[in-house]
Amino acid sequence: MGRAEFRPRLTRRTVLGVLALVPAGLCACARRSSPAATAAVDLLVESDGDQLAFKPNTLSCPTGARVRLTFRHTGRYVSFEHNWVLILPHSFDAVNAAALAAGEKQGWVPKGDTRILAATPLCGRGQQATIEFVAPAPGDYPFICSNPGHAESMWGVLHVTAT
Amino acid sequence: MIATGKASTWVILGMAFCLPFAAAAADLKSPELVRNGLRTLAYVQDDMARKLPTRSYSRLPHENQEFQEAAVPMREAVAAEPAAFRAKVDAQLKKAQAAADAVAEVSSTGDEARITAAVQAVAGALKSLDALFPEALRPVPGQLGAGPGRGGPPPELR
Repeated sequence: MGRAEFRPRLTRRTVLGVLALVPAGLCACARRSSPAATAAVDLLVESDGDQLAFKPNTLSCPTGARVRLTFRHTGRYVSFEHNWVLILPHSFDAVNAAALAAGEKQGWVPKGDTRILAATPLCGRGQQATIEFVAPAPGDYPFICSNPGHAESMWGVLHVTAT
Repeated sequence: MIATGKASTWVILGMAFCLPFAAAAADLKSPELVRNGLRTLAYVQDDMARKLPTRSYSRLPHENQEFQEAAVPMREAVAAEPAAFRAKVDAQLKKAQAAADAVAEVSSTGDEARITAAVQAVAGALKSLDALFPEALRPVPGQLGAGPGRGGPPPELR
């Protein structure tokens, strides 16, 4: 009695099935090779004590990252309220004017303003707030405190990198 | 040789020029607290002045409150200094605080000229306060705090 041999048969259906799976596999690999798409980044930024400045004043993250940003008001004496607002480049003056018009009740953040990419609520002395947002396209984005007058000295830059 | 001699002369002259400031700063018990105290007052005064172009006069009493609060760390910064110097600082600080009070008082009038003059008086009083301390500790306009400086982001981002 001869031993039964298993020989896989390459039928047309099998070949077509495998070929159909190739693009899906390539897509999955492409997604995996772009870590920024799923990366989570924690950022911390503080007020410079009671002074009208952010510390640090430059931040960095990869594009597409899920950013969890904590803003901490480290002031001890002055009852300034501060927030952290990420804005589109070239919108500094317009956003500041809109913030002033929005008023304190809205936390100096105009609702539905597409020039604002992310914003924390206002924080008083010793308070902190954490927000989450997806990092925008690569580039340099200003961040400001939108409490009127503060942004002239209380600003910084978020560097969004390609990878 | 001559070049080296000239260079060392400049170094000696430079050191002679800088030493009094360095010595004066070192004489203070808490120079870093003094620097921060002066800067905080300057920031608040600056913020107060920025309410003028937008005619946000209703915010000025609040700015005055912040100025009074900013005077606290300034007093703490010189708490360990000799009584005579402390008294000088206190007297000038009181003048600045009174000037800030005056801003709050005139803010309700809506009189642009009076309000502007009152805000300028605060700046003047602060300048006199700064003058009591070594130059190295005084706030430099445009270089306040750890931030990139006053005036907002550069044109390519603004």
